[in-house]
Amino acid sequence: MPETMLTGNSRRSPRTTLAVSGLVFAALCVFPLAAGEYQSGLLARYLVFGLFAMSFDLLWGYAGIMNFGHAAFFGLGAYSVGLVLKHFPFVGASLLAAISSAVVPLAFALIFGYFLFYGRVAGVYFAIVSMALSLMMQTLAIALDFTGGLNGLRGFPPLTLGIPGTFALPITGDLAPYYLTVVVCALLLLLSLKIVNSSFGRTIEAIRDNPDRTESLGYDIAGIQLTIFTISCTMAGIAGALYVPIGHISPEILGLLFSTNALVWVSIGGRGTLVGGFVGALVVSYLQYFLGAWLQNLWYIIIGVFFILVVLFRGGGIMGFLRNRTREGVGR
Amino acid sequence: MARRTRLLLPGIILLALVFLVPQVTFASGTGESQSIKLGFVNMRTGFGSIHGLHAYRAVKMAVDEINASGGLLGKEVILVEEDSHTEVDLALQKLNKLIKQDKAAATVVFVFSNILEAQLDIAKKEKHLLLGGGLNEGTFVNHYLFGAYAQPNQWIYPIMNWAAKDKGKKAYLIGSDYAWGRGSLDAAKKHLPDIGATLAGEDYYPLGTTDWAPAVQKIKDSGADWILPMVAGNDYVMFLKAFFDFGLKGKITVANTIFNEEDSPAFPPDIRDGLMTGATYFTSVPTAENKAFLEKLRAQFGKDVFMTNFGEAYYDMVMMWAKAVKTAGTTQTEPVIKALEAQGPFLGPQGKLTVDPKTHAYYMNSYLGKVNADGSISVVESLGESAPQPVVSTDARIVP
Amino acid sequence: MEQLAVAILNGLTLTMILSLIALGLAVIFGLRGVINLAHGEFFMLGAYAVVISDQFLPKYWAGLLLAPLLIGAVGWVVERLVIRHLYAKPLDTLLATLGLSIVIREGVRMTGGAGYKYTSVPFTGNLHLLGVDYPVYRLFLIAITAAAFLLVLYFFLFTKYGVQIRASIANREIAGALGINTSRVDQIVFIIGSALAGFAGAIMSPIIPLSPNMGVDFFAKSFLVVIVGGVGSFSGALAGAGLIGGGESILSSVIRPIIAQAFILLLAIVVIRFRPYGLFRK
Repeated sequence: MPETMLTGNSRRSPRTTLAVSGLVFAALCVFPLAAGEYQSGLLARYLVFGLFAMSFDLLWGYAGIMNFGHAAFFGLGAYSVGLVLKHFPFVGASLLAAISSAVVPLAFALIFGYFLFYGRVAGVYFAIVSMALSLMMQTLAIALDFTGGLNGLRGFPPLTLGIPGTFALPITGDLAPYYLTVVVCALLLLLSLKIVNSSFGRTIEAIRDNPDRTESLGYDIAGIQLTIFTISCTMAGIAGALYVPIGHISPEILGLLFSTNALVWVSIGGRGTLVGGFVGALVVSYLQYFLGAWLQNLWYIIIGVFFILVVLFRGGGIMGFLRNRTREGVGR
Repeated sequence: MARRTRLLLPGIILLALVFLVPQVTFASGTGESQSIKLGFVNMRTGFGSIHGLHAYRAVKMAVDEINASGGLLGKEVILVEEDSHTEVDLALQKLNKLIKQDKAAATVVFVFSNILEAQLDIAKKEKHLLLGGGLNEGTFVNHYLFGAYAQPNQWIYPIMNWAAKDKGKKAYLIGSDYAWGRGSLDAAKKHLPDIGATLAGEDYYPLGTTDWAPAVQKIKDSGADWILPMVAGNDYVMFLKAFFDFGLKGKITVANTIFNEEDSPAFPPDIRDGLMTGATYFTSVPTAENKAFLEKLRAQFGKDVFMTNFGEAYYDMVMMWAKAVKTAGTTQTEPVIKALEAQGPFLGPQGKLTVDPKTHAYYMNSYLGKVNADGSISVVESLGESAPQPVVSTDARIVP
Repeated sequence: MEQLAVAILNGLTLTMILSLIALGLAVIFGLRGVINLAHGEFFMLGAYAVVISDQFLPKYWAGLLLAPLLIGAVGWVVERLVIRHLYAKPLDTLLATLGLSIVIREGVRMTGGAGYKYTSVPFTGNLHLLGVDYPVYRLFLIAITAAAFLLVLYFFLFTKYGVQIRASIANREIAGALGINTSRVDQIVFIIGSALAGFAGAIMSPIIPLSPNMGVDFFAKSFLVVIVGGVGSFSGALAGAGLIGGGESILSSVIRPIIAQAFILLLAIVVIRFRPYGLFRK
């Protein structure tokens, strides 16, 4: 069970963790200088995937909620940004777009979550309903004109950071989106860590492990599930917003396939570790980048088999493996 | 109990990745100037895969021919093909990769209209030359695009003329619900009064529709004499199968424009025998260039191989690009564009192609073909070349 | 009037196919609470089985007979190797079968090629029915799926194994206590479910394009059928298929087909919320 991975080895000092995190962050900042624009664009894309995966892990690894519709919220964030920028081409639109990239998924999550959690829909049934949600959103995005249909959304001005009248930084090209992504990912990762290490985080895990007992202790299960669900989906929406300058807004990012990608990334990276989402997304994406052309279809088969093995043998993914290797005195 | 989510090890992994990746990619990034890269975003899998193979063969043949006669500007031309899975996002990713990472001199794009639109955005931003071909709905006029694309008047009107003359005046238009389907039928509608035909019905279906029975029923009820289907990719075969399953062969004529030997195997011999279609090229086009072309094609890919109008156009376009590069003396985008605009006629397997510098489209040749029981297509009428008449609009998505 | 008749017949075609696939899903789900996300791939394999058998054996008919046998066998292997270990953990089965569906899909893409394949109807021609001319093959399809449905129903109602299966669905523990070999029951149910999906694929093969992805859409719809119609119930599968399949068909003739699809999905979400065990759970 994931909680065995979370009872950390307290021999690790907070200072070391801070130092290493700082080192990683610095490395990410320097990366474009070493690798160039195209690679930075690629890493930015993979970091967005990592953020998406991390938000999925928040829900699945910590709250035990399997959300096959997670991509719908990613897509909502992306489409919100695109639609706002397209239809409000005046100063301040970017701010509105950024806000809506969080608010729109948040609102949907609240409504959808309220409808389901307070209806006591959980476990496998929640997974099924969320699947239907993903399909429905994707179908609507294809069907409706204002979302651009199958073509997707294009022809809107870029997201622009700045204060009207003083400076403006359009998020175009490869470098600006990259740095924006790195900063936002770091912030949301820190926020997520804070959440799971708080008492709220422990309550969520209690609900995951034994909902009946937790409820009998007086906790409002539905409310807590709704809260973490909303937080997770909002983060997915923000990831979607980050995706806009990097990729293309199209119905594909709303669909089931993208949600299952997050599932694969988290499983491989390590469920219930938050960082595992990033690790999984980066490792799988880079492996695909290097081996994809050579392996082609075989690549997906390898991923599929790996996935089945992880499920069958309850592996903790990459992070779980690493944790066990460095554990001292705690039996497996 | 204190909870710690450790960052040390993942940090090391990220660190390693961050510094390994550039090493690996840099290793392949140097020493490139001995060759010229020609990018190719193709549809080899997914919805549009029915055409991708022929486009590949045509482009490959052109590149091999160029290299066999000494390459371009003394350098070898290397074809870098990528598969877009007929998905917009992937197609854009691959185009970016070809431009930024592979430093392609130009990129051949064989994609659906909705994807081409988005790719043109990138081409404009990166000042990159895109080469296309086949056919389109007449709405792609762009500085960075040169394509041996048949315009609606070159690939739609000929078969419409034939149908109105021979089969009756009531036409039913059915298409896929996106830019190409709607745009093509829009252009077709404009032509109806010119041939004295009337619209018996008009219908659009989303890509990926699996049940065409309702569509066929509507056609039956409309009393139409002939139909003009603009149904994309694999949907086209499914629609026709349903159409014939309902016993409409011989009762309502199908004016095909995209039927080729790739589609034949889906239909039993008695059904496909006698189907009429119009295109800018068939394997059986009776020109000397085509004979030589087919010999080389079969020598390279097998003696039973055929070629479609989608593929042949790409062969022509790549050859014309190579000529322009030689004229310009460089692979830089602007000089090559100028050279392409000023280029004289090119003799391809379909016949003569001449550029229209204002639209970057070409004078192309139209043929009427008949499908035989064995699945092959014979040319029954050569209609000669016609000027391209694009239906220019700034937004290619035409909404009714 | 003619339009209505055709709409009904079209709806019936889709309904029957969906109910076959859904039945397979439903009994497995009803028995062990296990959802096989690779069920759509079994459908796809059944269709491809016809293409392959067409090359060596009499066209279509051999494939139609072989498909359920072959796919049933595949189902058995999957049950023994993977599903068996995960019965107690439904979410894990979901994941493992997801991985399996990817493996099967990509495996077919690699070996069979990514392009579309087609088979042909074994007989053409129309029949005049209810005032309309309707393709004979589609009528045959409706008839044969109905027959298959009845056959399976007979099996469940009147044979020894069928009774054992129904007992196990009703109460697994007591069934085991009564001496029923529940492990064998599990295997039989999985085999039957998979065979049904394969058979459905074979029947559909002449009228839809065959591609590695073809099972995905049908699976999604069948899944909705099981949810809406009820888990582990025959009448539920049929009724659900009628609602989903028929509903979409009929809706599609009045509003845009794609909007009809979205609407049906919304309906399913609402149904799960208020009746998680389906509308017709007995």
